[in-house]
Amino acid sequence: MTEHPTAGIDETVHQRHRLGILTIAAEAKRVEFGYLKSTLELTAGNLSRHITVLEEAGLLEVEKGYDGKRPKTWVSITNKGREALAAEMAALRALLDRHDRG
Amino acid sequence: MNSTDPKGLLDELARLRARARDDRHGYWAPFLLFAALIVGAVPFYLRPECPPGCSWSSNGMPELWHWLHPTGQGMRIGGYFPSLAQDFYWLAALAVGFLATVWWYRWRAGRVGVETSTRLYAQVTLFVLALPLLGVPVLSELFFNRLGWPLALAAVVVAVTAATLLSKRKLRTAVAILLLILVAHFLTVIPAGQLLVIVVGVLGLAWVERSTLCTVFAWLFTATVALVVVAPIWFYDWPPLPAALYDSADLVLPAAVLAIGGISGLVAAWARRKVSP
Repeated sequence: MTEHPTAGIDETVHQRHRLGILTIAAEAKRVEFGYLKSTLELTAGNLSRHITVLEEAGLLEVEKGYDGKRPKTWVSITNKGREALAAEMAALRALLDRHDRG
Repeated sequence: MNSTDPKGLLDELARLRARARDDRHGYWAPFLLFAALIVGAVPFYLRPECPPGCSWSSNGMPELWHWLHPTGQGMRIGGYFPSLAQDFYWLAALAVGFLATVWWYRWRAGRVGVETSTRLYAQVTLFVLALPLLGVPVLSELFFNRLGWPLALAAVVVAVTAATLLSKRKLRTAVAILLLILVAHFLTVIPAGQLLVIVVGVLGLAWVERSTLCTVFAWLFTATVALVVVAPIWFYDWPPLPAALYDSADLVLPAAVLAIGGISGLVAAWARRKVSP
């Protein structure tokens, strides 16, 4: 008997805003906090909490700096984060296939 | 993000990925810059004043020219006019183009909020910039001229493959390094061979940008450079055209392709901003 696709779902990654953060971060070298906030339509507090969870899980790295006098926070995905995202996407596709097969 | 079902979630993630990819695209600026730098080389390739029956030879060129072109230089459409000024121009232009491209992507990241990695572009460009200056002359002098090219070439292939496998990298890395070494060798032989550095850089950009338009124009540019590199062999002085056109054709044609690619990328970016500000 094959394992049910939900077994491949990681609770830290599965939350849809965190999936969105990882997806965008995986597409670039690094992403700025403000870009994530506007693209995902999240409040600063909410986004900050999701980023902290992903950073503590070792899936994201956070770099704080300045652009002139303005503070900027940059986020980049780690190798572990890429693997977790790929596993989550595979689990979602497997779930969809299973659902389509009925 | 609103979807909770797997299909809706996957669709939304695909949309987010496409948006981030579109937002980080910035290839139009390097395309336009390199088009301008190629056109800037044209004056260095115009045939000099020459009374009937005159000819040019590399024999009278300074030692530095022979260091930069250890196996000589081939023909080009307009004829053979070896010049150290061409080498100096290209060295400065390619260095400026490389630094400006890396700076552009960092500057753009600060404005847009999403940064394209220029690591691969920087690695391949620096490799094909540095190798013709040091690697090709040293390898030619110490290795190829003494062993003979068939033996020396086999030794280089074995050395690169062994070093790649020992450093636990994939075999395709060895193939890529050998191709870049070949490009660096051609660069010293082909007149305006520096276009090959731009080909490598532009293909590197297409790889990191993951844009269809950028990839199409990168390959069109590569095909045009391949054509102008081969053209002097097959079409030398045919069809009959004014000398200035021959002298500039193998630079202006690739520059035109890059310029059209850059303008297309700029228009596409502008259209995207209009649709989703």
